[in-house]
Amino acid sequence: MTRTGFPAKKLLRVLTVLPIITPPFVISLAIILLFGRSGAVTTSIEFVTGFSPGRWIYGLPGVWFAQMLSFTPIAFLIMIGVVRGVSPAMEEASQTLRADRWKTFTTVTLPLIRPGLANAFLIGFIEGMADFGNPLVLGGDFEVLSTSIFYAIVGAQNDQARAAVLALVLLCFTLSAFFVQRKWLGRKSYTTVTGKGDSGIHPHLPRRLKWLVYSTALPWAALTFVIYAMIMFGGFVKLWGYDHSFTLMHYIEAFGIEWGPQGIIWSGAAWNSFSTTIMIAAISAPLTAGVGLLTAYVLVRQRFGGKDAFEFGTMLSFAIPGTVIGVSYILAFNVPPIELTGTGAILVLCFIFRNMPVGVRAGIASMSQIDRSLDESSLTLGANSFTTLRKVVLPLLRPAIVAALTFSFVRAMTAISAVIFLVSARYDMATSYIIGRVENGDYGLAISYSSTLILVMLSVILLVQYTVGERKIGRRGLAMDQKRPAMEASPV
Amino acid sequence: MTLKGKAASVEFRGVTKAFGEVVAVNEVSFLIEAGELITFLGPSGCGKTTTLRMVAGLEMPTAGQIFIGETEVTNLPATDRDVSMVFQSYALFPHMTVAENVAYGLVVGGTDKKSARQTAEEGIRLVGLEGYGQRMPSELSGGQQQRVAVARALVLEPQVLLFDEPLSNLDAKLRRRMREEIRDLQQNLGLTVVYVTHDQSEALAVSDRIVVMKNAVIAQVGSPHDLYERPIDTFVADFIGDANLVGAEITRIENGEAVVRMDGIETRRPHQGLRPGPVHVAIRPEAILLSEKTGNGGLEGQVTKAVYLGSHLEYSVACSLGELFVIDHNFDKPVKRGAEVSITFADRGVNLVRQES
Repeated sequence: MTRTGFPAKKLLRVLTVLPIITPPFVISLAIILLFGRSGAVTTSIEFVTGFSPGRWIYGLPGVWFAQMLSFTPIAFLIMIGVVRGVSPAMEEASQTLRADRWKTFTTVTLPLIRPGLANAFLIGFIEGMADFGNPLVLGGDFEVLSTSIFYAIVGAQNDQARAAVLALVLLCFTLSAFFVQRKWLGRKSYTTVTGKGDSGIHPHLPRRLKWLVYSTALPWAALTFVIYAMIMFGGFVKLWGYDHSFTLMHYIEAFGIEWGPQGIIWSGAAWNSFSTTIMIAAISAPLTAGVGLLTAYVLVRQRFGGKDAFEFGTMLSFAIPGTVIGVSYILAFNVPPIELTGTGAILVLCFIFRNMPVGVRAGIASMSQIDRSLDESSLTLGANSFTTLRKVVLPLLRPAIVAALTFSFVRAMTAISAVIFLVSARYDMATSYIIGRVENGDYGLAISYSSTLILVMLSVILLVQYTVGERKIGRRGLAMDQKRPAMEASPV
Repeated sequence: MTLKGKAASVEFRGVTKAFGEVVAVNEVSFLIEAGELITFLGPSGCGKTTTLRMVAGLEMPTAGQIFIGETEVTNLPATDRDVSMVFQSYALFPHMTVAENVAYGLVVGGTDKKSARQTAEEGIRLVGLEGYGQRMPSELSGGQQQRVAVARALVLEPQVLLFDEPLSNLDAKLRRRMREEIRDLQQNLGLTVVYVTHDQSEALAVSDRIVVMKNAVIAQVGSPHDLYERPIDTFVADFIGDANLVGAEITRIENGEAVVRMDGIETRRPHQGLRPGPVHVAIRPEAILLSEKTGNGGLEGQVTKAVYLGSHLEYSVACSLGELFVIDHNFDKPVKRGAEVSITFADRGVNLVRQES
């Protein structure tokens, strides 16, 4: 995509950011609205051909479809870094050596991005294994590991041992994929853009390939667009597939406010979980960022034994599926000495652990940029350590702090896999509430709630962008870079 | 077999390249003879790299014509031109060995594997890297990578070989050696080479002729000697070597020489086609001679700085012409800071130049 003169590149970029702020199961919801038994596409096919496709979307095809749509953007984010990383001089060199576009692509470009492709593939694999939302909504009788674990605990079986065993199996898979990925990337990295000035332009792709790329990317973009349109409009329709009249019913049901004798009554059904979600996210985001950055500080600035192992450990938690974490938290905190199950604290704790690696990554990335001599010069100028930290290190870390804050806030709002095991009647999260609605077939409410969540997160991100501003123009690219590794391995 | 060039000439006729509103190269014309090493020299943004990339076929001109040999190649893409290029970053393919890198152009060009390998070996030997064929580029030093890049471009026996600031990533000593090696290869194989640099000493050292560019146009073309001895304007005088630029006036032309008045002193210099009127005098730092103050008229000044640099001495002298920068190789009579001196000029290294446009 970085290689074509495609006009709507920017729009495509925006579409790829959406999934980050989208709760994981929303894609499935939209797919149901499109291809479900009373979905838009299904009914029109039925109308035209008289043949009813039935409920084929539930099960393997649906899950596959939803996962593909959900994880393409992540793969895209990985690949965009890789493709940009190939120096234009490489391809120009190949051209001056008499290779045509096709030869250049097959002998130079493709081999150079191959490690990145493998990485995207593995990440997709890990994410797909660990994902929970989509199979839960679309799976039907088709169970994947993560949903089996869920049913083992929540369902009638209540078999914690079975859940633990399944969690272990799942963990083995994702961990081995994680190790393969680490090893592969450790050995082969062909980032060819260096600090040296190369003022080249990337040649365009060979024509055959260009059409292949367009014919893949454009339908994908169109589909994504349709799906988000579904989410946005689905909430305003009375009963999808049967009664398409405009209504605010679902929003009123979810977020209704009434004036009672004692003042405002938050009568909407969703207010409880909504406020809990915001509260938990707001509490855990600064804690996550703080712990993450402190860890990064320790890792970068202090020397101690087992440092590498410690660093690796913090990265490892990327690879642990949320379901596994959920199960382990239940097993660990359900019994004395620490009984936390059912409290809000367990949710906060879970988020801190889940999202801390992002803070660590972002912190390490920008702290390695800050030369130790900056600290030292501040110290020699008479400032004490605390002043140095406050006046020198913190301002320079600002992009990292913002990245960590935003990311952990958003993740806390959209997380489902770990959370669903840990919620209680008192502390219900938005996502698990929505899943509950979906299981009852109450799609209208679920969708209107989801779109509200998306809008809230979007405005939070925009607000953060706006308040922090683009003061550090030179650092903007850096902040993006810090976010990228986070997304590469973001947990589900 | 042995490698040799199929050297061809390169000609630009009124070539313009614009990127949107910005004109990078503006109606440039020149002719590079076959077997000549020509350097494009200029400050960054002067259009020299764009010119090179147009020779390579990596940029297409907005207007004008380009010829390589007898053939017009104006709109021919790089792939189809008989030209190869050594990049500033070397652009070695990191996933291929040295031998594979060098053989790449031959293999994609359809040469059979065996003779491609032989030619590649020949190329590797030519740049003095025998035995390194199976290494990966990342296992080589900067200078070695540079050689691989040269070999890779050489083995195609191109009509024109292009160098885009090839030495800018090497340290000073290695830079000196590599530029000599490039010059030797070029002369031994009779190659046509177009070389881009912003380093004037590098340009002086390697070139048959130098094209000095400024603001998208050619300021002056000439041999290193021409450019240094007879710069056309203040820009070239200052860019090639150092020069003290002093305002003056040509009072009359007499016997083919200009009579020049600078601040009360009158000298005679070749008129360089200039007419009576205001002019600049470019004085090379080594053309200024300092001696003990005589007190019988002439230009006098005071030494404000004196620096010992091992191979020579540098002075700053304040006088009625302004602050003059002086280089002196006379260690026997060093002048102290604060000393009053008489200033005279040598015959060579004092030139009349126009105001740069």
